[in-house]
Amino acid sequence: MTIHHFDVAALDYEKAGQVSSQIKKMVKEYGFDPITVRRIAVATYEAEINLIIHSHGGRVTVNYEAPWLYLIIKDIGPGIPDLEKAMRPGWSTASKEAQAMGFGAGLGLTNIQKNSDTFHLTSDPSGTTLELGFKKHTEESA
Amino acid sequence: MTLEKLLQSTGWTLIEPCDANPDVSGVFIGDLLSYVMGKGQPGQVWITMQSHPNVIAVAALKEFAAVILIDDILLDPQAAEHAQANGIPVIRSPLDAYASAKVLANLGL
Repeated sequence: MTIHHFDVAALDYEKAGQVSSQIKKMVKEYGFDPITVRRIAVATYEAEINLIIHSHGGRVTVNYEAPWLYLIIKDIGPGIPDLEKAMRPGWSTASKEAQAMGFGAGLGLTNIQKNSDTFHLTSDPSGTTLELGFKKHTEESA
Repeated sequence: MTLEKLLQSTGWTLIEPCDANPDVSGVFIGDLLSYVMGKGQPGQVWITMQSHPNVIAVAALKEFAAVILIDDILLDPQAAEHAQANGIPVIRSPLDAYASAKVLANLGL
């Protein structure tokens, strides 16, 4: 088992993408196939952006237990008031500032769900936790 | 088509050069980053009017062949640094998104 942690600060737009980039490199080294690597990169990027634009800050934990890669994205609030709406494509509560930079399409959680093999989202005002799983395909299972 | 051939055929400016000359598989147009993350495909050139550093992060994660900034938009200096660090070519087109796409379509993309 290998575990890594990456902290993401609220509103740190300038560093957005750095954590996803590091995780993408890491999973390439773990030997994930290129398609799964890209799926992990998309999901991680969206989760990282959500931490930056919506949360008070949080942490991405990567846990590799072959053949599964687990990502736990946990923040310290303020929580998602309506999970059903948040999962609806096109629905967004992003600030004008975030929207001006092209964030806030309302597709983040949809992209995460579409690109992950397992997806579990819980939220209350003390924080949101997103747990994702990606299975490494071996030659036999591909 | 290679990126070098695309540049020769369009006459557009490569504002952030890189050593790579990737094959261009197609074109994607979008300014909303999550839309691009969800729908873009590796090897495409990405037409956008967004010029901030996150564009380069998205292009690198999606493995786009290049970013094409429309309407002669200037690249944010920090984005330029990111482009160099990540080896992402950035091209400037004097045309709007639709006209840029038409040029690329006429080239067979």
